[in-house]
Amino acid sequence: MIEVPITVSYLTTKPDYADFKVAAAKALIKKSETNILRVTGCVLIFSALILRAFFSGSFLQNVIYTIMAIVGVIVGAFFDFIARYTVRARAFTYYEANKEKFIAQITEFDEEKITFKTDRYSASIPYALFYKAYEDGRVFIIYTGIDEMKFIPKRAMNEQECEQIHNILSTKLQEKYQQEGAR
Amino acid sequence: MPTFYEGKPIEIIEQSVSSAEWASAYYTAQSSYSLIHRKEIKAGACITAALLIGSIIPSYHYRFSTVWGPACGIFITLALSAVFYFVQPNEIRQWAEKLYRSNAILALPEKITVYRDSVVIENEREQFLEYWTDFAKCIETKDAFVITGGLERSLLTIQKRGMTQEQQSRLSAHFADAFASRYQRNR
Repeated sequence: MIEVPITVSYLTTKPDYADFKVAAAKALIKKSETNILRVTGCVLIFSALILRAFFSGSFLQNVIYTIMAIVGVIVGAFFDFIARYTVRARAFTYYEANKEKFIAQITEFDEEKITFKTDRYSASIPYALFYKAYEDGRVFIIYTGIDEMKFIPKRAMNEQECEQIHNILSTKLQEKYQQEGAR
Repeated sequence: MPTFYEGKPIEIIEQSVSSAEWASAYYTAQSSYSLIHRKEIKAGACITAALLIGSIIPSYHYRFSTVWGPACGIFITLALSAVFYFVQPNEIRQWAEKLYRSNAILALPEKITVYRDSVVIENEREQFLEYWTDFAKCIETKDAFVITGGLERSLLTIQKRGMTQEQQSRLSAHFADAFASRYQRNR
């Protein structure tokens, strides 16, 4: 049973903004692309091992094979971690430099629309006009277009509200709704 | 929407931005990030590289008795210059049209009220205020004012179509004043 409206009010903190940027980056990457990176990493590692075993010779060759193996490990196993770390670091830097841009927001989920309100912005947008929505463990991201989005940190709501928002978005947006790891 | 010590609006514009207009504004914004983002500079750099490679042909031929290496280099750099000059701008415009189509709000008719220090943008679905200091840059082109880097709208375009010469001059003078060194005129 979905009780509407659900109102969430919050002030974006530095970790919120970093979580949002990480989630937005995750939403951009398709599972097939992650798999391609893993396979590429494995191929690089195995190629390096085979080359080292059968074509080992000069010092320079060994250095090249070692670099291949290291790049394979980075691409195959740690790319996700490195990308996430980089996105977080950039988000922290941006937040520190633009603190004044992050002001208190109220988001209200209604039967037909979502209302966003800040001191300077107010919008009432029907579900049909949204491009998509994405959810991970920490935030909901609501896209008005490919490159324009709004986010709501889950820390600003209780578990029941979180479940209700999840239900509303998945019901209203259907195939336009994505959840982390669910594609 | 609160506006502070603003007085009367400098201009009120009512417009609907088409996909092509938005794509053109997007391309203008992309090209103005830095000199290296301009297609002329990228293509020019490639042609310069081709000329430099061409200049080593005599010594290369003397040493290796062939000109295949520099010939390939010249071909690649000239091909790249053609890509940067002719293909990439179209790719950017197509991507911009995709962005426009993805965002239903961009197609709505909007009212833009320009104040001394801020702008209020209203359409059927949203209403917001941005200060000129929030934006990164204003580029005036023959057809529009392209304002980039806003908080709520990363690209704001004010079309000149339908404006009188006097309105255009007033807005142009205002943006030149409000954006100072961040104002650029591409005509």
